[in-house]
Amino acid sequence: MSVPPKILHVEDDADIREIARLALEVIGGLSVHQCASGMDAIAQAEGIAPDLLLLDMTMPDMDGVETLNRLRALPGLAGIPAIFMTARAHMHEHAELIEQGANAVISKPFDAMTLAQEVLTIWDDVK
Amino acid sequence: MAFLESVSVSATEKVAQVASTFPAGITPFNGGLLLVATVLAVRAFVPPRPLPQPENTAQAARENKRRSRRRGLSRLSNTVQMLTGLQQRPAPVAAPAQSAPPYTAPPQSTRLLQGAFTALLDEVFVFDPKTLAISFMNSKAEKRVKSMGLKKTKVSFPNLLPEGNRSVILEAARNLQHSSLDTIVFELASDESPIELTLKLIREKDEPEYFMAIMRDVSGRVTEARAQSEYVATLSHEMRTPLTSIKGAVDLIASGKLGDLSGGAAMTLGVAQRNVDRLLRLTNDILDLEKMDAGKMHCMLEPVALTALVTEAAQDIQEYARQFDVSVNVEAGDMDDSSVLADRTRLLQVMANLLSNAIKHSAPQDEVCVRVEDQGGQFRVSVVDCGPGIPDTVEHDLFEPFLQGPQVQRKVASTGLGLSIAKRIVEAHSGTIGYESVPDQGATFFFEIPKLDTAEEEAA
Repeated sequence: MSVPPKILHVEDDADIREIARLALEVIGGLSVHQCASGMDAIAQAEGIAPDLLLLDMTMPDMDGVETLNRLRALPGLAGIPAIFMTARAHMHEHAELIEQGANAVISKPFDAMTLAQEVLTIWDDVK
Repeated sequence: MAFLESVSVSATEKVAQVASTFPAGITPFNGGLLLVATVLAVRAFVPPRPLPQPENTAQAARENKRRSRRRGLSRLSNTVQMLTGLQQRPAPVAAPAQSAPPYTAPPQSTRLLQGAFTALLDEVFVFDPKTLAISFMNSKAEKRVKSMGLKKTKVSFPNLLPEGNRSVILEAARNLQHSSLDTIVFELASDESPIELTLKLIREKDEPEYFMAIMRDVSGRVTEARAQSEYVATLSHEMRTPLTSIKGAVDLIASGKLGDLSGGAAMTLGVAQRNVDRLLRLTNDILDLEKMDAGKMHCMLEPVALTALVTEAAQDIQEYARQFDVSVNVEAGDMDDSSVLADRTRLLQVMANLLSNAIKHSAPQDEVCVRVEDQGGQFRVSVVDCGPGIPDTVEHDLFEPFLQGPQVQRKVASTGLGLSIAKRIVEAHSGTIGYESVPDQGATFFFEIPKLDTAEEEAA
């Protein structure tokens, strides 16, 4: 098992943020920074220096794909692994998302009890 | 249904009445999702008005010769003249000497019939399978031909098709004659507007076959469908988001990791957990139903290589399979030609459903095997798993929606709709779906689709 990643989670819904934080920090023991929008994430990313991105797909103003592209354009974050979180359930829809730049896709609603484990499995695969 | 709105109800009834007096060889296409085509088939058998009479006798003689060469179509011509009362007009082109048509219709209906046919907002063409020349068209169709700058008497079916689609459609039409299907529906995206083309092969007993092509402007429907699927996507997101939060909160509290719970608190929380899961399942079911309905409008059939599609589906699901530590293998034999007439997206959906079921029911390190077999007139695709199998005690139809029941043990909750969606898709492809299972030895889910014969195979 590799060193656990520092995660940057971008999600506009405050309650989902809270559940995800509990799931990752309390259940999973992982270090998580959270932003409510793509713009916030871009402003804070360099200071946070994350190892892994967890991005909600549908956000107002800037969606998951645009957020990813702009984050990866920042110094030090080129090629940073990213996981998209989406309510779209079809397999071929997941494949499409991977084509758009994600390393993996996690479906919403996610299982709070297993989210940390899923993230770590993906992290291990990516590293 | 949108299609029925374009023709008044009484006209439709009259058409249905007249259609029922036609020889038994013409039957509406029996298919699940192609109910739309069935409606069209009944309506479309309104006999088309023959071409307006040519201006001079030399032209008339040429016209006549051409017609008499096509026996079946000339017979139709007589029929049409009878039914639309055209024999009352000044004598048209000397009709080829053929036996009288075997059916008549009461005079009142012919006027209504003619009116209905003229009122049809669809363009209807009738053409010969060999020469592809168009012999009959309704007034809407005439308008199109005119607007294309073509001569009504000299237009052939390929002339009407946009260049890009032409060969695929002609190939599919040829193959229709060798397959058990009799109707195909295409969506043609042209520069002006999307058009739905329905090709129906009319097979009458002891009569040469002929084609009927119906072209309909579906730009309205495309916009509607797009709006519908956007609505479903938004609804999906809006409902899943709060459910994620509730489920997450309840599960986290119940885990005890956020603090100890009294016995009473834990039990009560259990109530919340069970019902949130129930709500989630219901939401998924409803959303799937919505998608199914929206999807009904678009079932686009084209020649597809089945083995390539099956391989693609297996690749798409690798990631999911890995999460369960299950491997997926494809055995396709060496088939040069695995062509079927299918809607790629829908078949991929069926594969995704069968594969995810097989994976969910497999133990870690198990293998799910996908087989494509040639069965003469059709191909069989089987998805085999080594899971617990389907218990003998299962009495209900697995392919009906909402049957989750305690009889079938599931490791991961699913919506109960996937198989019924798969069944509807397979049936829309004129196929059959089924399963075989021995309890504790796994299950094989399979579907069979008719082959798309190539001309060479037919000649052999």
